[in-house]
Amino acid sequence: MTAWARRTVRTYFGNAAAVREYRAQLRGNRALYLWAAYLGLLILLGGLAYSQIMDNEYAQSIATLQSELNSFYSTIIGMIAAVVCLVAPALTASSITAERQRRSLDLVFSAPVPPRYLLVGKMIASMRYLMMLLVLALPVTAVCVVMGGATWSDVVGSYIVLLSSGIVFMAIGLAVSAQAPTLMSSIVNTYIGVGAYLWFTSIFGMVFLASRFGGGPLGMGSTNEAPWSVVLLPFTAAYTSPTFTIISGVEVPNWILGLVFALAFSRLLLSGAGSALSPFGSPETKSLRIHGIVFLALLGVLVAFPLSASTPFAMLGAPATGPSTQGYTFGVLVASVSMIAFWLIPALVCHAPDADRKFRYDGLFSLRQAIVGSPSGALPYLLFLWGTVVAVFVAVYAFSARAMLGVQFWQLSAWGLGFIVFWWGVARFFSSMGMNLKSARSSVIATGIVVLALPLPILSSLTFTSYGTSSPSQTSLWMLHMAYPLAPGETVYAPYYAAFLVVSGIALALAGEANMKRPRRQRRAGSAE
Amino acid sequence: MLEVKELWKVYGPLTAVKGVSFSLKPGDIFGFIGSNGAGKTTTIRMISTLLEPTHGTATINGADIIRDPMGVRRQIGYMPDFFGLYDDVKVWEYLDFFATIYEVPPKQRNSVIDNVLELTDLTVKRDAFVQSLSRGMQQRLCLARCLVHDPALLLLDEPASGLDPRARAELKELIIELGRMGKIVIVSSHILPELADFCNCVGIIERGEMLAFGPVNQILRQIQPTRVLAITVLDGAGEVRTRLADMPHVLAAHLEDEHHLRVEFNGDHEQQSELLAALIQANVRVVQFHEEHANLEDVFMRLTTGAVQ
Ligand SMILES: Nc1ncnc2c1ncn2[C@@H]1O[C@H](COP(=O)(O)OP(=O)(O)OP(=O)(O)O)[C@@H](O)[C@H]1O
Ligand SMILES: [Mg+2]
Repeated sequence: MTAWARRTVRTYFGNAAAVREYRAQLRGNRALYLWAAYLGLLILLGGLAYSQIMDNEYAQSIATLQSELNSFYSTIIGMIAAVVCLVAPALTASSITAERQRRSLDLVFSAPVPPRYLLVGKMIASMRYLMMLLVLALPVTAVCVVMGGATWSDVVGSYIVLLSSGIVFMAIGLAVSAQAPTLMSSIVNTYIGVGAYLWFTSIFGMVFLASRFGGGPLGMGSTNEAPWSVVLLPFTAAYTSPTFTIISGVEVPNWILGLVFALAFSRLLLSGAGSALSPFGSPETKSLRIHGIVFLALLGVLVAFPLSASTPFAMLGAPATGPSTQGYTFGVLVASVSMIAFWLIPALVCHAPDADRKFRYDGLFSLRQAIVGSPSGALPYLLFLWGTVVAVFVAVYAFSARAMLGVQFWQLSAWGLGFIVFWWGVARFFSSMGMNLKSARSSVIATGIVVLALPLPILSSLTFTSYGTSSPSQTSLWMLHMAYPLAPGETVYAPYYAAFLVVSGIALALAGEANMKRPRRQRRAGSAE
Repeated sequence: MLEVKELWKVYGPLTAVKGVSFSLKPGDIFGFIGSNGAGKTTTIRMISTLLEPTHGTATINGADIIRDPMGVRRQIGYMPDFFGLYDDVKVWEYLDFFATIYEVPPKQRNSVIDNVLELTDLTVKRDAFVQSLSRGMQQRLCLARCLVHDPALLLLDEPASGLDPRARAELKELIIELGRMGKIVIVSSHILPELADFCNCVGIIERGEMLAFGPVNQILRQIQPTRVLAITVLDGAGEVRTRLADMPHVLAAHLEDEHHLRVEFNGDHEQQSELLAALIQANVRVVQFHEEHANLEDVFMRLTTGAVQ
């Protein structure tokens, strides 16, 4: 325990990697010019936005002036958010890849430091940059406060929302750069990752903004209660930072929940980066796997609470509340998580004879390897993830709605399980053919695209049912139910599809086992004996 | 004490290292010889925990490279064959970085840095930027970096490449000094004569297999069970040659020119002295009589050409 505390203190305080980067950052005038340019730009843009708003001749009443000032403030925050989105990923996107290409990574890892030390050091160093970005923008935001467009507590809330996003972006950059072979791919993939994150979170943000300004059916009125996830989108920080979520009767500011999410998510990403930099059976991999489950549980709780309380989110799937419709909503979520798990399957399941020990064949199924992280532990780990989501939803719903989820939840969850087992079987089968790791993985992904994505446009173009009617074209094709049993009326069949998927997945995996047992394969595996 | 046990490294169809085993004790300076692609770097990287062995393991003073990599790293200093230094920092800051991650207590850091700078003759460059150093100086800085935590085992992968003859000689002195300090030093190199001078132990690796391992003399004897005696006589070399051919343990005698003879001899030292006595008794006017040592290069060439199918 004391050793653990000492290690943690050593990682976060006086981290040598952070000190080294700090020294390099402070050197020379480049940083100074950069900051001056940034501040100048901010003042210029702020001034432009301000004069636009103030030039409005009709802005005479106090009320309109107030709203103009408010929108000036949110423009400023939006601008800072854009800078954070552009700069934060760049701070880390190249760091590990650059060190690997410069051949200085070996020097560090031949010293007794775990990857986490280096990663946290890079995070700390980049964090200082990010803070600088926000602090330098203070004069501009202060103008808003002085003129009455916002209060200091608004500014603090918005800043923490921006900081949380920045932390996530930096962690995405580190996670990508720990794996990327070249600087180019590292930077491109980081921005793709950031884009995907923004796309996901903008769904929440848009829902919120629509409810705020559209005055539509979401009916949030003028209270600031909103699902916590709205703070995940940085651009709308000015609007979302005053919101709160009611948890057990207490108004918890959403920026706190957003920060908790950002810290947990970046921790997960950093574990991922650490695991990628470590060999077989490393503590980093174990930590990644455990954090994966913990994070999913946390996310499940954070999603399930507002859902079971039927706040605006219910509109995503079920207009009315009650165990049966919410059973469907939660069931769709489990099925969606299972579908997202498809992207994990190549990384977790595939094995190859020439790969590192992490990815070498070690049997079909081993509970113990689920946490150690080798191909035989892939299925149990995926089942753990699935089970975690199911258990969290059941528990949270039982706790907050005092009821069991309806039967549709179980039908769709069963289908999610079938989906996972099937693609596990596919990945096992491809891996048994003796190709290298990259080919095995891309075969799985290619098959996934052929089976899951292509039939959608092709088959739906074959049917002539028009959109907007009560029977959309996709759902009238039985084949696709295997892949998307999501229509509310169709979930009764989901368990049958699930059974079929499980059986064929296991059959494929066993065929793969038979392949592995053949001596020819073993000789090709170049084993040492 | 370093014990390497049956290390294997398989890269798909290619097996880079095939069951390398050896052990070294404190003070040993081990020369690791092999042609390009023989598996030296791979072996060294496995010992320094940077590369995962396919099979086998190694232990350093009880710490296992697989089970306790951190324990191993605390005891080793690894200098890669190719490396990049952080070029945006000063020399002392660079060493300070490594002193910190090697857990040198803050109070001792400055004196440790001064010591290693002194040892590697970089004291004047203390406040210079790393990017301003020449290649050889960077090489020495990297070596200095390996020494900040007083490791028990040094793994130097071709440390002499890029050094001028003078720096090379200094490096040699430094390595000998490190051996005297009780460290185990592993030096890989192609430049064979250089290693023979100061290594008390060599290993020859070819296509991932350790063909020979042991003290230089022992390997020489293994490769050349018959000795070669070089004899110089004042006159009558041809006559001496026929006389020699009949003597015990003499396998063959060759005439080099009118003064010099080379004799292949398979007796021990006693029989060798008897041979000399016999020559003197026969009134041969011997000027020189000595055993010719094969050099490491010969050994290397012989062993490795044998290994290539
Ligand atoms: N990452 C890798 N993937 C595949 N093969 C590799 C890899 N690294 C090394 N090898 C192969 O392993 C063999 C041994 O390489 P190694 O670098 O150990 O040789 P070396 O003895 O250090 O040679 P040199 O004197 O040129 O430095 C070579 O045939 C090389 O091609
Ligand atoms: Mg090499």
